[in-house]
Amino acid sequence: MTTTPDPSFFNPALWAYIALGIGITLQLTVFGFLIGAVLGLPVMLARRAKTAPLRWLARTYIEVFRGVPLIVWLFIIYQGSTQFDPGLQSTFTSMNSAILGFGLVSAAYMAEIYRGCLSAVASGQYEAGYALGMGTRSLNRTVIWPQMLRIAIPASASYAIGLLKDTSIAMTIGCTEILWHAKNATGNITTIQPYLVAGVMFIVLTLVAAFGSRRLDSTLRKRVAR
Amino acid sequence: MTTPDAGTRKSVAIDLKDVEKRFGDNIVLKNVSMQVREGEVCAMIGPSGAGKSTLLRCINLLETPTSGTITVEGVTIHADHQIRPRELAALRSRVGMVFQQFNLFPHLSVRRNVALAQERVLGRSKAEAEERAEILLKRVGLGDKGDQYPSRCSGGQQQRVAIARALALDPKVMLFDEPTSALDPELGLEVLSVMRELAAEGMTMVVVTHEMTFARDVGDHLVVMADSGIIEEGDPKKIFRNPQQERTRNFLRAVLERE
Repeated sequence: MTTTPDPSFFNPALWAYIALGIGITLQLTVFGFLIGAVLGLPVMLARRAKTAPLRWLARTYIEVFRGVPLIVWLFIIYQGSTQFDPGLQSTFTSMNSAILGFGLVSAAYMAEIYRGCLSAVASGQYEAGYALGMGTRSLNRTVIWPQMLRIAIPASASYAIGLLKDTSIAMTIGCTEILWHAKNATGNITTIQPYLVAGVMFIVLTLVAAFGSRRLDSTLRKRVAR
Repeated sequence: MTTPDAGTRKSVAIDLKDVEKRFGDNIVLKNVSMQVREGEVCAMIGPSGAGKSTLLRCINLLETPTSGTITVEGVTIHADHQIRPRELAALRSRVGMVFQQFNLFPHLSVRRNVALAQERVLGRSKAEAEERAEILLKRVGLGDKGDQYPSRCSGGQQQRVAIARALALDPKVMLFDEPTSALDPELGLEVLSVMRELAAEGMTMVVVTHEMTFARDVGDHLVVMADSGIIEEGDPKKIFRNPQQERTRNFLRAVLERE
């Protein structure tokens, strides 16, 4: 085991050590959210499909992935995959399993966010498009979805910020993110100081993310304001 | 087809036969038949709830009639048959529509608003579509607004963009659904003047409106609707001077004495 710095809140070396996890935390958040944001779209479409079996499938997906705690999903994916076939170990690494888990759960939440925002797009937009002779498909791609995505920014951002904090549970399957470093720094001593450092880092990260999303929202939203 | 008055009587652009529309038990249009001739400006007036907007929206099938036949520029659609997407596209490509609430695409610049459907529906190239958009924007007096977003334009400007957007598809017929009702009176005037020009150029127009001056001065044909049907139609000036129906008289008195 490598030596860890003295676990004192005012020890700069402790901060530097725990900060080593920031990169992994961000990777888990960004990739997990991206998978969810992309995959959420087809799930939402299936949820609203005309064919009933497709709707049931999407509803089942959403309920199952929202209903089971994230940490359980991580165990299932990380350990279940290798039990299924030990050869999968190189594919389902800690990082890949965690990103996949976060992505699949995010897709369920994002699908529901999209669904709400879609109904917020003014119905006149469909009428205008149809009256111009546009088909549903090209109307969706060029008019409806771009507006839906913009309306979805605040809700998606608060979901992403929640996810940023939830990524700390990836520690349990061995992802070396912020909390993993904090726990490692405590060693055998009973101290909360590394966790306080981790807490401060999460606060800073969420503040930056919240600021960024507000900026994005105010620039883009001007154009969908009614 | 030679008729004695073939020289003066133009061919029929819009022909509605026995159009009926119900929502459940609620009858919104009761057996309505009417014709609009090529190049004619048809004004539709009447109290709210009379079915004016619904009838207008039946012409381009934004509203599917429960029964009846709709013919627009040679494309005929029977409401009681399954409407094929191709028929629908054929009909809508001949008809432009302007809405009370403008319904511009808020996430696109004014130029893109006018260009988008040209590319998607007519298959024009981006350059071609945007060039045409600029020409049409100049025509409605908004040559300098191409880069703006709709939210930065006044209501009157937005409605003129909406007119340009509809004209961009080279429609044979233009439908206007209370185009000035959401506008301040002064802003409404700039929209009306664009519509006057359009009428003068010979566009076939159907206009649902509460602008009585426009209906009387620009309209070639006036349709008065009340209680889910047409109660009177004919020459606007005659009807305004001497309405035949009691219901029309009451409506006109209520509207005109307010002014």
